[in-house]
Amino acid sequence: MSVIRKYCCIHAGKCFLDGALLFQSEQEKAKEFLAELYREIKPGYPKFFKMDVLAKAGFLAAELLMKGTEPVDDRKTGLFFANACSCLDTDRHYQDTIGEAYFPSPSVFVYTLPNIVLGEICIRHRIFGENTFFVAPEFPVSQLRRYTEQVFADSGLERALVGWLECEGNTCEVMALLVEKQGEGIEFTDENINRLKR
Amino acid sequence: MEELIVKLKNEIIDVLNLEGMAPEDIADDAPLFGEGLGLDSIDALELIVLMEKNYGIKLKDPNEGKAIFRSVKTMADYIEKNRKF
Repeated sequence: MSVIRKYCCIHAGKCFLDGALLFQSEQEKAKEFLAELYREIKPGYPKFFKMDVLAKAGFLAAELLMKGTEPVDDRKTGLFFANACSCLDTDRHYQDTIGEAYFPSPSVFVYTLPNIVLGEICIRHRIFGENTFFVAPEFPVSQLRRYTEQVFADSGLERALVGWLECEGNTCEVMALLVEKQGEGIEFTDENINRLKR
Repeated sequence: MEELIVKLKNEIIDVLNLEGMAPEDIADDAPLFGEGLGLDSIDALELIVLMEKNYGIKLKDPNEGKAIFRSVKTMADYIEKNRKF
């Protein structure tokens, strides 16, 4: 049975790690709140400020989940995430940079795919395992859980970051899990994932 | 020239999201890429857009880029000589 080793929820000015409130701010706007959270946990990674909001949210969740974990073979960690809005905010921002004068921004353009967040996490943590980003109308708990289990069974993956990364406008909803193929932790079931959601 | 250098530093900080950095943190002669500010290839594209958008300069020869973007000072020199507005 696979297990949830750690889990993290970020939304509406609050960040929880393993169910405990880790950081809270009056600032509820996603972009500003994530910057405050970055300063709180001090990853020392200035490229963070160049990322779009979706990548910032995923980066910080991964940072919290991977901190203090034992290293495993880089090829045996995977990433499986989903959201509803894809990277729509960044698409709109990119459209705005084009404008009438036509000066499209290259640094905004590079984030106009939802799976770029996975690339940022892979670069940061030197992860070379399989990664997939799904777009679904709501958190596809069962689908993500079954997909992760299947990849664990088929590919030799031993660990995965799994979850929901939804950022739209000023809001951000993150639930991210560090799941391991075996070991000690909370059983990786649909019921437990739904129970841990805040 | 000094005024242009300060303006350019502010524009670079703004367009490249160099969080927590002030114009005085960037030395006029410090390399922009590699050792100095550590900018990357996407940043280089943003600087090309900045030159066109803010000064009307279109870089036609990519080989010129390395010399122009060596430092803020070399950028300012090039802008001073080639700006359209």
